[in-house]
Amino acid sequence: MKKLISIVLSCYVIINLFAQSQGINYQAVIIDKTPQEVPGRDITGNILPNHPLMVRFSILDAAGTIQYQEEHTTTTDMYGMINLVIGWGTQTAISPVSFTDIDWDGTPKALKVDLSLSDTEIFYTDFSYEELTFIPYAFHKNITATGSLAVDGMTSLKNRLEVTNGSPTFLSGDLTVNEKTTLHNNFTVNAISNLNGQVTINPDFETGGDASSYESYPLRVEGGNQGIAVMINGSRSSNNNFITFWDEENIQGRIEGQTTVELLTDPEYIFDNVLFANEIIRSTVDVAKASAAIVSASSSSTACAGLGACVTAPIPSLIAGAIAELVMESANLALVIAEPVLYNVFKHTNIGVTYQSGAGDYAEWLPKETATEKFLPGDIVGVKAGKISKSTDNADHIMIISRNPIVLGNMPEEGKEADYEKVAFMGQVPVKVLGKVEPGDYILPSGQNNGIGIAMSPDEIQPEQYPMIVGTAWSGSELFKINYVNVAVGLNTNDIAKLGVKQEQKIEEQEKEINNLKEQINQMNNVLAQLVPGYSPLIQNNQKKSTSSISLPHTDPALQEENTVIYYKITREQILEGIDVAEKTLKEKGVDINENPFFKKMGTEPEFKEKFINEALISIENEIEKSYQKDIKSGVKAIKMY
Amino acid sequence: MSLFQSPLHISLGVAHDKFGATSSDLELGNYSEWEAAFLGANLGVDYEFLQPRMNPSQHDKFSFSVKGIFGTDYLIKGKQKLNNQVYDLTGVEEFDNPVFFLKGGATFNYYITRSYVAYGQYIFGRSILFGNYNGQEQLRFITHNVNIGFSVSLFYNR
Repeated sequence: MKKLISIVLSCYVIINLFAQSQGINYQAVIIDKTPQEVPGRDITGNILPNHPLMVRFSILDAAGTIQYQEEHTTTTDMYGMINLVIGWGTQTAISPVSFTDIDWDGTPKALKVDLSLSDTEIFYTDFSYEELTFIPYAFHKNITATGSLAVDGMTSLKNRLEVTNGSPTFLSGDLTVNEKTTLHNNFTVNAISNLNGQVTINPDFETGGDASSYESYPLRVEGGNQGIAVMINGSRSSNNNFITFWDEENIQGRIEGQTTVELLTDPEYIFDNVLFANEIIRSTVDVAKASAAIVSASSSSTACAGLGACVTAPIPSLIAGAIAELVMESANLALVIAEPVLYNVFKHTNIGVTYQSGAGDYAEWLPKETATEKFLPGDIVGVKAGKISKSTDNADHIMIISRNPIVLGNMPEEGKEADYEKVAFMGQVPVKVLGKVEPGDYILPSGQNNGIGIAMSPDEIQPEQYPMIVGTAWSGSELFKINYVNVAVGLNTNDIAKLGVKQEQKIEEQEKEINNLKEQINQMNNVLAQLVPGYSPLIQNNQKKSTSSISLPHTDPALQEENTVIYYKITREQILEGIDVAEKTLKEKGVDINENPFFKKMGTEPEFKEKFINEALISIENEIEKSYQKDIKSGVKAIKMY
Repeated sequence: MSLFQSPLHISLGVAHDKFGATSSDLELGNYSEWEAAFLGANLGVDYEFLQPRMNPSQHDKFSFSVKGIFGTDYLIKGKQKLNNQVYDLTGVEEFDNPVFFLKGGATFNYYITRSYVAYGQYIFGRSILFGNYNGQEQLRFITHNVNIGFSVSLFYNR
């Protein structure tokens, strides 16, 4: 029977949030519209107790369109009451979304409730239509919750979120912030942090501060065995700065990437290799000289004009010594060759970054000889036993007070900086120089012990002044007054090499002059031997006494001739003897030949030793041949005794 | 035989009746209470058995009679209390029409004299429904009257 029901609704809607699900509590008392008929006035408003019914909830938008709909099958209790949770029912087919997907976007929404009280069929009649005004729209209303608030689903806060009363905030999941984040108190991260954007640290304390205080630094890395790692995108190059240093004016320095190509074009690298090349050339020349010395030692010339030629055999000890010299020069050449190889291996292995700065020198703090002595950048100082003063007399080293070093080592203890001064060890440093300066001039102390230097041309400098060279001027000055001149210091190896080459040239010129003099003396002796009786024996006796030469039988008529140079073959045994002499000599000098790559290889690799001996024999033979040919061309009679 | 000596008597009376009733419904929790005052008119017929003779020397002083009454009552005042709400019954459906009664009973008479009679009476009455009612409820009156009275015969001629 279709029972006509009139309903007085008593509806309580409460958002109830559970840990497992969510919904809206719905409670209503179903009132029987049919009054209880009694004589007189009928009794209306009677409850409908213990009655089965179906309830259909529809959440409508402002246009009346169903956004969500569900059905419940239930029974009223003895008080005619139903207690349901909207969201726990059976979603109908026409419901476009599930309850949890309802878009509570702030637009008006209504709750429509239909009831079906029929026992035999589902026939819904309108029950209520209520606009949802408060709780479902909590996001734009005030919520006062004295207990906990748990939200299982996504929570969209479209306004400011404040957590007051000093209450902590805990997030167990990821936190994504799309806009700026400002923290007004300490920020502690107990896990790995990835900052994908630019990070600027602005300390809230006063700028400046004590540079030696740990508390003065806004960025501190502590608590680990390692410091800071900087990884750039792509491969390193000079266009990728790992760290760049700015002040308020400009970039003042940077640590940048370096590639192999950039290393090969690095002026410092080129300069270093030039130095190595010079060393190799010089060592090669030394080896060649040693070979020539062997030729000299293994040959003899007749100087016994007048009484027939006297032939003297080469002195074995001289030959062994000359060969030993060749061995040692070869060993030195091996070291010289090994050094740039090691250097290049090191440079290519450790290629990575370069540090660039407007400052130009490497410096160290050195103690003052007198703590009260004042120094200014560019002052020339003398170093005696590791302490500096403006007195350069008898100084161990002549150095310069640095103005702005790129690297500053040997940092003194805190508070003792006044007892030290920054002294340039290598690089470019401005130096106070009096008078005209040409680029390339050597800078030397003035000798007045006033920290001022003077310039001296390389052509004018004397060997005794070499130790006084401070550096080489890389800039000039035209004025006859004290000027700051840019001076390269710590790079004098090349200069000394140049000076050595010059001295070598001078020595060769002097040797030529000596040979000329010898030839003139021989000619004079020959003339005197012809003119003065007894002169030749006297000379021969003197030569025997001086050279202990050994007379050889005059089997070859050519040997009887005057002024003949005889070249003797150097044997394998002589080479071996020379090697022994070289080893003994080095040992006597305290050199550990086991650490020398040449001798190490000679001792451990027989084939290398054999190869060296053969090459030495060939080299010596070539030198003998060159000397022989030279003698022939110059008209000197020469004979090869092999 | 005179009319007054006949055993059949006709009575006509006016009554003022007050009725009260209460009801309750445990399931729905309803409580009702009625109080109604009616003004009624009754037309009755009595048949007396063993009526004493008119001779004074007769000593038959007891008689027994049966009584039938047709009456109607009109509500003059009434109220209904429903769950502590009080309503006026005036003009309310069941109380808006006259109530008709059929009553019947028996009377025991004691003739003190021929003119003075003391009696005891019991009358059972029941209301009769007339007309159509829209509702399903029915208003029914059942009355039980026990009367003890004293009657005077005004027209008895000695």
